Amino acid sequence: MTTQILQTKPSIDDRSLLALIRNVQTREEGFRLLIRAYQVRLYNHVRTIVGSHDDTDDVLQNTFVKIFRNIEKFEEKSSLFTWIYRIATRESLNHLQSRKSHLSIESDLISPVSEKHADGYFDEETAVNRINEAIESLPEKQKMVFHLRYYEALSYQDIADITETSVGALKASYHHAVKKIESFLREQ
Amino acid sequence: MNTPRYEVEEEIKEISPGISEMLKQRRIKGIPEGYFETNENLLTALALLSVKKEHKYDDIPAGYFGKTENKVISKSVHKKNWVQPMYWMAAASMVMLLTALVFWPTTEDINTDENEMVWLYLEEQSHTLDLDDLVNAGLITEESFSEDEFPEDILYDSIDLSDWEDDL
Repeated sequence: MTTQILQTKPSIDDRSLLALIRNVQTREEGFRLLIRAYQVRLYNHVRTIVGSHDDTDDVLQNTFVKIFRNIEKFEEKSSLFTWIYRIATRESLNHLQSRKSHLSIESDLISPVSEKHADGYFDEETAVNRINEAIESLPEKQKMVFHLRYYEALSYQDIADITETSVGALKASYHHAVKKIESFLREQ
Repeated sequence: MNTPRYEVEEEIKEISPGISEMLKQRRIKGIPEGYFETNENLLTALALLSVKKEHKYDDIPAGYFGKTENKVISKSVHKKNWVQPMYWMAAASMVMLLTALVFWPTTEDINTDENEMVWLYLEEQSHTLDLDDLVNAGLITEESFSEDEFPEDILYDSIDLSDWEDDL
């Protein structure tokens, strides 16, 4: 098992990627570069929302298949980056929705936090463990906003485009998230 | 566009001066060794199959199906409607049988990574495969590419954030 640093950056710009994918001769290379550019970032984004590695793996695969199958229809009215993140976000939330209904049927006793412990999500080191727990204690969408703003360093406008909510609401959400993390850490 | 890192750090220091340094220590654990490298191959294969499903016959040489296809079409036209599902059932059974034979586990297979199996399988058979075959082989889930879950207007479709307000 490895430890993954959260921040990565794509090595090719979106316009070049689209050009490669739309040319039949370079399509395979284009897809591979698209995966290489976005895989780790999307993994981190999805993992922040859904929690376990296995769930993230499923959601990531679904996300990419939907990207591949619909990229020809992509009209560039938003950035490729926003479009991809929107699909990943939607897939993650759908997954959470289905997992919640599944859990409520099978067992109400399994808490998401205990699942994440079992999955090795938390670092053994106390400080890191506490940070992870603090972030995990946030409501799902607040956690997502926090991750996109702090770890992905996205602009509020980009986050607003991905989540289709207002910049003002996002700033408030981010502020609340940071305050909740702070108070969680103080209580420990 | 990304916000410069220092701006993000300055912002969080304004909201909560004490936690900035702690947040930098966060790492995600539990990712299997080589996961991204292997996954890149699997996803690339899925990408090519996804495209191939839309243009299924583009790279099959002219006349590949030859008389067989003509014969089936010709017979289909003249048969009663209830006969046609039998062709499909027979074809589906054949695909399932072949898939089962190909994926019948050997000791070697059991020790092979699932993604590697997909990749090897695709290398050998990609010209005759589409995503349905991978579903039938149990390697991906049907919901991965369910059209029902992915409407045409996804480009501008809203994410359902009806409970968003609860989190703010």
